[in-house]
Amino acid sequence: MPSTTLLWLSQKNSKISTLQSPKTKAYVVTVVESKAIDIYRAKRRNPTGPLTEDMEGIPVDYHGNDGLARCMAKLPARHREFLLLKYAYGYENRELAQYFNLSMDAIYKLDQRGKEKLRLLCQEDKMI
Amino acid sequence: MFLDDDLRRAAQAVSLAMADGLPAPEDCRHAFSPAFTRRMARLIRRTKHPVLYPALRSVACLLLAMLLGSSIWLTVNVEAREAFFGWVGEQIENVQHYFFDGPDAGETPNVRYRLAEIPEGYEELDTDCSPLSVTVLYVNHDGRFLRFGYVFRPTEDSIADIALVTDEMKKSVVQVNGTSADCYIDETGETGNVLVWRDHEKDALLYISGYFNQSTLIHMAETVIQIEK
Repeated sequence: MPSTTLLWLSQKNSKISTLQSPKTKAYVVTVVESKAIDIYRAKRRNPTGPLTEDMEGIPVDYHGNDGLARCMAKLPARHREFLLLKYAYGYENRELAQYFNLSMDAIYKLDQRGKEKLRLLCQEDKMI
Repeated sequence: MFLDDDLRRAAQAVSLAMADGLPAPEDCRHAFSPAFTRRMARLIRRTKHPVLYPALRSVACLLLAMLLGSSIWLTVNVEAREAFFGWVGEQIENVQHYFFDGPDAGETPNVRYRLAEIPEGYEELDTDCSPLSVTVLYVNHDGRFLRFGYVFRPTEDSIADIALVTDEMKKSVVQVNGTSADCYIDETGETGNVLVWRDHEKDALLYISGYFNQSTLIHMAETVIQIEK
């Protein structure tokens, strides 16, 4: 799995401005989590079970004051990865389509579903 | 629903929180697989030579076009094929099959072949003869075999071929007395190596197999002598 991730990162090194930085480290973590889920699903014997979008990823402990960040940290891994890659790392939709191996239509739907889940989490958190 | 700036700020905060939640580097250990190491080395090599690899690719395409062209020529031109074909090797799955591609021989040559130099410690154990082929088996005190054999071009009522199991064997083309030969090196060291070469004058296919390196096999092949029957 690290092999797959590092090969992807080496091909997308334009997203990395400084090698040794917290932002680069966070970027690597985001990509690794995503690729791990892909490999897990591919190798899983039982094809039924939670859809990729609903799979929980690594737990994120956010202790800051940003309510939106607090809710975003609770998102399922796939939606969280999508929003992080798009808004924290500047991935364009066509890059996201290539990354997630989805069509452009599927990317738009993933974007909408992710934001809807985020809205629900914010409602539960009484942010909105 | 959400402003892009708000999403951007939140995403950056979450990504940093994810990274901060990881264990310390000294607590993490990973060994990269040899396959990954090779792939990364290849990627780095290609990145360092942005002109060389595309140029090599162009040369490979040109050579492929030439090969395809010459193959078509050989297929349709009878004279070219007769000049080129004789003993032919064909790989079928894990077996290398040698057979004579051409008209049958009128008669078998009145010669036989012998190894002029037998490696020290080896003694002849058995000889298997047929009208078209001979196999001589030698063995040393450690029980290791040396096999020398040959087969002549088939006649009208006979079949002559050689089949080699080439699992875990690396094939290379070498020279025996100025003629191309096929050398099979067993990369596991368990089954021994094989050298196959041709005597175009007598239309014979010869081979030596045993636990010898390539240069020793070639030396033995080059010292094979012909004897009148």
